[in-house]
Amino acid sequence: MPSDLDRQIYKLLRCELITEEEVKRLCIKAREILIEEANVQHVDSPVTICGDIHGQFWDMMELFKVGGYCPDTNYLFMGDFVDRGFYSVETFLLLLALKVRYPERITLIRGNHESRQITQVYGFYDECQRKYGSSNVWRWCCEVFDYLALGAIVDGRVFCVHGGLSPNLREINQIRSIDRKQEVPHDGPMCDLLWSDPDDITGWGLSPRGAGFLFGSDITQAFCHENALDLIARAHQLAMEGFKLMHERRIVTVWSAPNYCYRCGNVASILELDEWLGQEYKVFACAPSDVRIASFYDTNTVLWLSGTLLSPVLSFIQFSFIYLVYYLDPWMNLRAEQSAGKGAGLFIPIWNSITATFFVRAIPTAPAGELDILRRNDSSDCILVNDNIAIPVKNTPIVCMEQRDSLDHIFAGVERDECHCSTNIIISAVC
Amino acid sequence: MDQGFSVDEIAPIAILMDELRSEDVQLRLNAIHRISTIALALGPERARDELIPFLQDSVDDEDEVLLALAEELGRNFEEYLGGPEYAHLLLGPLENLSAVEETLVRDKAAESITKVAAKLSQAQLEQYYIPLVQRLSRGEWFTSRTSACALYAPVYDKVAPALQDELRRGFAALGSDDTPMVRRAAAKWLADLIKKLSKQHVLSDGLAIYRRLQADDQDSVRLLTVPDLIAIAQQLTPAEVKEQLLKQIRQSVTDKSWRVRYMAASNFNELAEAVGQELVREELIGHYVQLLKDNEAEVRTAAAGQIPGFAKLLEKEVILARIVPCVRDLCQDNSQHVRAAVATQIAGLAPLLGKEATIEHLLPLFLHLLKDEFPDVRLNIISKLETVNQVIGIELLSESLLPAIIELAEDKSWRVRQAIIEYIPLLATQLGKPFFDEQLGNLCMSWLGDNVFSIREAATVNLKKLTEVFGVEWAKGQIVPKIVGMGQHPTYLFRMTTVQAITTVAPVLTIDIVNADIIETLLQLARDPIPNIRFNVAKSLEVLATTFGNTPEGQQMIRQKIAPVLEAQKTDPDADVRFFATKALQTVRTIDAA
Repeated sequence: MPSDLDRQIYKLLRCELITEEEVKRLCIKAREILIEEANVQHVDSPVTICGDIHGQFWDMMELFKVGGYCPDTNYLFMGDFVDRGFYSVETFLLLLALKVRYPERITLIRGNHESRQITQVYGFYDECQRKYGSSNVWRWCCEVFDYLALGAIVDGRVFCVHGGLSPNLREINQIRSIDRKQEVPHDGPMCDLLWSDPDDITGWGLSPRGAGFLFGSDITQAFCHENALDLIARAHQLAMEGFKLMHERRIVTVWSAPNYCYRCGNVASILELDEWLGQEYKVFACAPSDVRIASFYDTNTVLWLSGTLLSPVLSFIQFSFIYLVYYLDPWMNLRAEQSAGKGAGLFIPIWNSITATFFVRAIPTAPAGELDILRRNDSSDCILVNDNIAIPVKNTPIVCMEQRDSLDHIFAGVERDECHCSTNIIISAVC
Repeated sequence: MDQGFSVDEIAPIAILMDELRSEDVQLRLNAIHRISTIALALGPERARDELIPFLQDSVDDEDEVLLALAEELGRNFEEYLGGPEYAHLLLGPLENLSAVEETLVRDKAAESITKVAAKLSQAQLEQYYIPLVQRLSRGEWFTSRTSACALYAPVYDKVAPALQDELRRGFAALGSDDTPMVRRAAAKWLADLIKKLSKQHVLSDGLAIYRRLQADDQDSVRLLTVPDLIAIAQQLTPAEVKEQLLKQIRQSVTDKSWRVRYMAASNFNELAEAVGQELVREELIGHYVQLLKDNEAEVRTAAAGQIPGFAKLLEKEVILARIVPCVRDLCQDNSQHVRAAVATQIAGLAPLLGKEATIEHLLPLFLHLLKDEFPDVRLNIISKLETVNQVIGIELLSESLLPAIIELAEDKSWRVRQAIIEYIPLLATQLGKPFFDEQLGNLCMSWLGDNVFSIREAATVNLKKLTEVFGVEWAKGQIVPKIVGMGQHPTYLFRMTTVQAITTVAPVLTIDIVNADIIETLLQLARDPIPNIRFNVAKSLEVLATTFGNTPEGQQMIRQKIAPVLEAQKTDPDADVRFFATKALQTVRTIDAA
C-alpha cells in the first residue's frame, strides 16, 4: 500500500496540485527534517548537483530523465526552485515531498529566490494565490525556506552554495555560527552566500546586483586552500552552455533551467559526482514542445495568435473562442481536445510589416478589471506579461489556418463594430 | 397561488426557479444540468405547461448557463415532455438561444435543434420547424441568420416538394447575405445541403449558390467552399464536372489568398477522387504540382500530406515524371515542417513505385531525410520504414539504411537515440539472429553505458524485448554475461545499471539461468558501499521472488539466498535500504506462505 506521501509524490510528478491541507502537513514535516540539518549540510558521494530550476517543472522532469529519478540517484539542488517559470508551486512541492520521503537521498539548499521579498515580486506569490486562492501555501513555503541549509559539502571536498563567498567568511566552520532561521538579510555573510558572484577580478568587488559581492580568482583559491576543497559548485548565474568553470577550474556555475524564462535559448546541465568525486557534466535541453504545450495550457493565462494584420489597429477587444488543447495523457500519448473560453486583450502589432504577431491574454473567468496590459519589452524580440513571463516572438511556429482566420475576423469585426467571434486557435509552443 | 397543488408538487419548479435566480453562476449552472431530473419530477404535463415556458423566458443569463441549457435540451429531452409528439415544444426555447450574441451558444442551440428535428414527424416539421427556419433566416440581426444556415440540410429530404423549393430559395438568400458571417455559415453548411439535393436541383440551385460563395470577396468565405465543391463534384458525372466546375476548381487551387489554397491542398485527395480519372490527368496533376511548389510553407505542408493518396490515382510513369521531382525538392525545403510532412508521407510512395524505382528514386531521399538536422524529420522517416521494408526487402533496406541507423544510434540528441532503441526489436525480428548479432549486438550493449538515464533504462527494456524475440538461450549467451560483467565496474552508475537490467530482464529468463549466472552477482552487490545500489538490490530480489516463487526451485532460492540477504539488509545503516529490504521481505513472506 503506497503511503499518502507516495501518492502525493505521484501526483506532483504529473504536475498535479495536492490539496492545501496536504501542503500544510508536508511543510510541517519538512521543517522537522530541515531543522536538524546543519547550516552546511554534509553530503556523501555519489551525488548529482543541480542549479537553478525557477519553476520550469517540465524541464526539471527532463533533468530527471537525464540524471535518473530520486531515490535511485542522490540529488543536491542549490536553490532558486521558484519564481519566473509557470510551475513554481508544483516544482517546489515535488522537491519538498521527495525531501520528506527520502531525506538522505536529496538535499535542498537555499537560493536568493527562497525569500518572502523576492517571491512577491517574481511570481511565486502570485502563482500560489492563483492556484490555491489564498496566500496560505506561499506563507507555509516561506516558513520552510527559512529552515533550508545555506550550503552543503560533499565528502568534505566539494563546497556547494547558491551564490558564492563572503568577505566575512574565511572558513566553512564560520558559516556554522550563523543563525539561518530567518528571512534572507540585506547584507552580511548569510546574504553574501546567496547573492555573490565570481568574476575576473582580483580581490573583492561591488556587485551590480545590489547585494553580495564579486570575488576574484585569488579569493576562490584562498578559500579552497584554507578549507582543503577540490571545488566550489554554485548556481545563481545563467550559463549558456549549462555550466561554466572559472578561477582555474576551482569554481563552477551549474545552471539547470534550459531555455531560461522560456526565451533565453540556453542549454542546462547537472554535475554528477561519482563515488570517487569524478566530475561529469550532463548537458540537456528544454522539454520538447508537445510536453510544454500541455504545460502551457495549464496556466491558462496567455494564448497567442499570429496572423496577418489588415490595418494597424491597436484596440482592446473582447472575444470568445474555441481552441484545441493539446495534452499528454498518463500514457504519454498526445491528445487534442476542443475547449472554449473567453478572452480580452490588447492587440499589439509587434512588427511594422504586413505580418504581425499578436498576443492575447485570455482569462476565462476573470473580470475585465483584472486584465494585465501586455507590455512590449525594450529588446523587442519578446513581450513581457507582468514582468514575469516573457514570450518570444521569434520562431513563431506554423499557425493553423483557422487561427489566422480568427484575426481577420476580429479585425473585420472591428469595422463592423462587432467584437464577438468564434475560432479555432492552436496553442503554439513556447519555445 | 393555486390551492390545488400540494407543497410536494410545487417544490421542484420552485427550487429550480430559485436556483436559476441565484447570484452564483455555479448554482445556476448546476440547476440547468439537473433540468431533466426536474422535468421528470414534474411529470410530462407540467413540464410542458410550466417548465418549457419558463425556460423560453430565461435567455437572459451568462453565456455559460445558456450553453448548458442548449446542450441539455438536445439530450432526448422530449422524453420528459411525453414523447416525440411533443418534441416541437423544445423548438421555442432553442429558437431564442440560436439568436443570442454568443457563437458557442448559438452553435450548440442549432445542434440541439437538428437533434430535435430528427424526432419530429413530417406534419410537425411543416407546422413548427419550417416556420422557425424561415423566421431565423429573416432575422434582423445576423446572429439568427447565421444559425439558420445549419438548419436546412437536416430536414430537406423530409418535407413536401413544394416546401423543398422554398427551402432552396431560403438558403440561396442566405448565401448572398450582406454579412460575411452569414455567408461563411452558408458556405459551411452548403455541402450538407448539396448531399440532400436531387441532381437536377444541384445543377439548378446548388451550383448557383456555390458559385456566388466561391467568388466572394472575403477569403474566409471562399476557403469554406472547398468542401462544397467536393460535395457537388461527387453528385455529378466527370463530364458534368468538367463542364460546370472547371473554372471554380482552377480558381480555388490558384486563389490569391494562401488560406484558400491551403484548404484546397488539405482536401486535394477528396477532390481528386470526386472529379474522376480524366480530369485528374488533364487538369489536377498540374495544379497539385503547383501546390507542392507553393510560396507558403503551410500550403506545401498540407499538399505534402496528400502525396501517397493522390499518387494512388496516377500511373507509375506519371508519379515518376511529375511527383517524384517535387518530392525531391521538398526534401530540401527550407521549412522543417514541410520536411517533416514529406518524411511521414514519402514511404507511402514505395508500394506504388515498386522495388526498382524505390531503390533508384526513394532510397537516396530516405538517406537524406535520415540525416536531417531536425529530429522530427528523422523520427518520421524511421517510423515508416516498415512500409519500405515490405517493398524492397530487409536485406537491401539494412544494407543501405543500417549505416544511417547506426549513426543515429549515436546521435547527440538522446530522444533520437531513444527512438532508435524503440525501433530495434522490430528491426531484430526482421533481420534474424545472426545478422542482428553481427550488426547491432554491440550497439545494444553500448546503450547500457549511455550517459543519459532514460537511454540506459530504454536499453534494459530493449534487452528484455530482444530476449522475447530471440529466446532465453540467446540471452544467456549474448546478454547475461555483459550485464553481470558490468557489476564489477568501479563506477556506481554501471553497477546500478546491472541491478536495474537484472530487475527488468530476469522475469523473461528461466530460474536455471538466474540461479547459475545472476543471483550471485546480485547478492554480492547487496553489500555494495553505495546505499542506492543496496536498496535497488532489495527491489530486484523482490522481483525475482515474485517471478519465480511459484516453483520449487524458486522457493529454494528464496529460502537459501534471497531471504537471508534481505534479513541482513534490515539492519543496514541506511534508512532507505532498511525500508526497501523490509518491504521486499514482506512480499517474500507472503509468497513463501502461499
